[in-house]
Amino acid sequence: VSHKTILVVDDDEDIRELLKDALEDKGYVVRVAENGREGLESLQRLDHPCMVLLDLIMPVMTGNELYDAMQADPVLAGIPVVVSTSDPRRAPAGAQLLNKPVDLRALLSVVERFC
Amino acid sequence: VVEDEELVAATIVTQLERLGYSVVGTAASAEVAIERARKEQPELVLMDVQLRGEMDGTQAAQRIQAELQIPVVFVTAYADQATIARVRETNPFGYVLKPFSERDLDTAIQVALFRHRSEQALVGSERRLEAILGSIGDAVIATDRDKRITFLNPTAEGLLEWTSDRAKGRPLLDVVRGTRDGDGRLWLSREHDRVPVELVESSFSDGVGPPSGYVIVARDMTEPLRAQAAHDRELVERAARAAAEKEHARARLKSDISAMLVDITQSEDMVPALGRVVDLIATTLANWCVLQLDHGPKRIRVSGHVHDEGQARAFADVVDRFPPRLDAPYGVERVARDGQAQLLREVGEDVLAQIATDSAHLDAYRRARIESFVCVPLRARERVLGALALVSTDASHRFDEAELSFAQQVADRIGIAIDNARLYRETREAKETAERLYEAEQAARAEAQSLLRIGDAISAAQLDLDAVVQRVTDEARALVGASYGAFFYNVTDESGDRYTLYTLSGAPREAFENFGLPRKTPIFAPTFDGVGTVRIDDVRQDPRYGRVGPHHGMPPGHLPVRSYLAVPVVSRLGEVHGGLFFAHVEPERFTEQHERMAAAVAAQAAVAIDNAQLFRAAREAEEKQSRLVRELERAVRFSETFVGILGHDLRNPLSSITMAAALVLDRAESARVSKPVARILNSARRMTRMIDHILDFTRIRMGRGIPLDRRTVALTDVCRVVVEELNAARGPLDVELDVRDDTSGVWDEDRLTQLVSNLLGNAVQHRVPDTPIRVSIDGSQADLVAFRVRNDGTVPPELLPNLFEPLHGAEPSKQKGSSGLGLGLHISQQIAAAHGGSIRVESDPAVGQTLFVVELPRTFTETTESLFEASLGKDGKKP
Repeated sequence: VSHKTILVVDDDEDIRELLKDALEDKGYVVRVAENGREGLESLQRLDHPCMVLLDLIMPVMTGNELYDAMQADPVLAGIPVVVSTSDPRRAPAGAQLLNKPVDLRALLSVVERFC
Repeated sequence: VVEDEELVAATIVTQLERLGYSVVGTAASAEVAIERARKEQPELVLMDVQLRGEMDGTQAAQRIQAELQIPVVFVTAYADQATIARVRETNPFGYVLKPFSERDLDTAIQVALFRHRSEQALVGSERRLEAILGSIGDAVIATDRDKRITFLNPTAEGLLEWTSDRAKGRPLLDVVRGTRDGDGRLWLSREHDRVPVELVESSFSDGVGPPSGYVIVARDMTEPLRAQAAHDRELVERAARAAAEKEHARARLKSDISAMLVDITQSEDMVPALGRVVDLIATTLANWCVLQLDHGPKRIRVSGHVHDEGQARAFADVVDRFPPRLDAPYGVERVARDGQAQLLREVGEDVLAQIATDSAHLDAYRRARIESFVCVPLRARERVLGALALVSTDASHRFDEAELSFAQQVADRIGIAIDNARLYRETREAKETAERLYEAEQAARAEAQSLLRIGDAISAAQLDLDAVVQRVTDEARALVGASYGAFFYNVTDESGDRYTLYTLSGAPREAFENFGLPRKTPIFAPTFDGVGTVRIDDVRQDPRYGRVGPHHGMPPGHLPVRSYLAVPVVSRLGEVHGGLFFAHVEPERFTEQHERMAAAVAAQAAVAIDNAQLFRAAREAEEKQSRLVRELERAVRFSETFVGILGHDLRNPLSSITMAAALVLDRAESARVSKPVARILNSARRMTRMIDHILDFTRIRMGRGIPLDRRTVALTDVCRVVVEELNAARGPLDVELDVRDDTSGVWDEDRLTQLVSNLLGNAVQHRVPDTPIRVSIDGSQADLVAFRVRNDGTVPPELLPNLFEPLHGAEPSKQKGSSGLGLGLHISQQIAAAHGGSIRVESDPAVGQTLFVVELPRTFTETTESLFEASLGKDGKKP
């Protein structure tokens, strides 16, 4: 487990890169993925991040699908997931939420809790 | 001659014989003297006083006089006082001193004999009296003039319980003590008891002057009274027995009559029973009896049987040959009319004259020899039905009040029996009527049940017109008992074309298939035109039959029809749906009742067809509507999808803008950079809120409400977070927070945040600048929490009524710093409503303050929640 590594999964490039930029400002290592599939592959291939920042509505594989896959995998189930969404009702039950548009201070306070 | 000196005796005998007396004997001693006197019974004894022997002359004289009542004359020479005294004691009849002359002797004897005869006479009468007194049954009490008792006869001794000797000389009232009782009866008081007595007192006198004594005759009344009482008792008993026998006879008569009267009650014709009753009365109470009775329209007149042939004829004449005289003051006519009983102890010529119509009638009456007459009314329930007359032809039997009363009792019984008969008959008739009604009702009920069954069948099948008419046809045929039935009915298809269909019952479809539809022949026309029912007992005999070619009657191969019944089926609006036709192979099978039932079925069938048509119309309308609904749903879905995409797609760049601005702001080292970036960030946030509002508003407008994610949350915590955020965004605000009690409830935290944020933002925006905002959260009520926001400044009055409406009239552009859409309060109201709560506003220009009050129930009601759950589930937007 890399205690300073965060996986950001978001199909919106601007957001993805801004999040990466903002988090790297604070000294975190940020990996990015464009959709759920990439995110899952990243999780399976590389070291486990200290948390996953997850968008929901994405092509190929949605955030919900990735979340479910992680919960179904005993190895991945323990990784904290923070769901970033504009529609909280769609979020998987029990997931940590971060409303879109993302408030920078709120993001950092959540990240600090897990990493 | 008793003389102890023989010479003296002989001398006396010589003297006596010379004087003409005969001497029966001489005795020398007292004893011999007594014996000879007893034996010879002489008329007189001459007794010497001095005699030899134990007895002297005086003693012998005493015995002879006492015993033999023979007078004794003493002869003595001693005239000394002592002798004379002794002689006097014997109460001698005479006394001759020696020496005496013949004349002296004769005188003494004559005097003695006279005196003796006188005394004997007296003694005889006394004895007779004594014998009489001793033998009579009455007690006789004699007194002297001073009412001292002198004598009691033996009866008196027994009655008074006194001996005559003891009573003698006592005052009468010492011996006879009596009292009178209340009845005036005299009771003699005795030592141990008292005795009823009757006393008769009479006085007697020696001649003129006061009474010299009294005689009281007392009679012991014990026995006579007892006998009288016994006699009286016997008389009473005899009378009672006679009365009882008479009563018994009458009671038996009454019971006999009652027994006969039972027949009256139970028989159709009461005359024979009445005849028996009248016969019985005639033979027991009278010699002739007649009963007259007005029975409904009939007049019944019954005569009692009379044994005497001649009399029977006479009565028959009186009754039958002559019409009754209606104005007669006596007789059954009169009594039956005025109800007053009549009693004629004696029927004289004057009575007959008043009741006879003419001389012949009078003769008939005379021949009938009516002596006494009683007539009583026959009554029932205060009504006079007729009269009962009793006639006696026996001069020794005259009717009296008692017989009148008895006759009335008998008449009353007859009256009751007749009335009972009427009641019995009426009851029986009523019962028969009731039974007839019952049967009719049963039939009607069966009919109604059949119709109900048809009704059920129709309503059960009501969605399908074909099924309806088939059921109607089958049930109706069964109901009217037809051999076969058909239902021809018109239908209009969707393109408006009319055509006729039919169903059959009791015959296969092939039986009609070749004939085509029936035409409007004279027989069919009334049915197809909806004019009315056609019922024909035998169709071939009907004048309307066979009038139309080419067949002129039933076509060849048609099922045989004799009885015919057809009813039109007409809708509520008067449209003829068709007709029900019934046929029977035999004539005269359909009755008026069948006609009525068929009409009832037709009415139901019409309703069913109406309903089926309405149902079809309704179904078409429903289909049209559901098409519209589907289209609408499609539009809604599109709209939602669009809004969702819009929201999502707009938010992503907004998110980028916000984050980028925040990042730049974070990295900015000079105000030249940070101030405009802060504005970018602020504007981006406002835009985010606007998008949120648009999304919520769209959802609300589409009737989907605000979805809630309920958890337990404290309103105070929500409020603090909002205040912090506002402080962060706008700089420190002057918010006074007043919290009371527990402010938690089961609510959607995000939505409450939105609500609180809206209200606080609103207050900040509209307050008088730099005045505090007072917030109170009141959890003192058990079931709800009240949230109040108060600020200085007022809402323009014209805006108040519509403040919670969307776009509530304020110019968006003028609302500085707001979302700009005027949706905030509307959404707040919807959030409160979704939680089952409410929101209201008060703005008072006088006070210069505005107050918003939100009341939120701590828990939600089932209906509220389920409503939103349902809407969510349908959306499929919530996991």
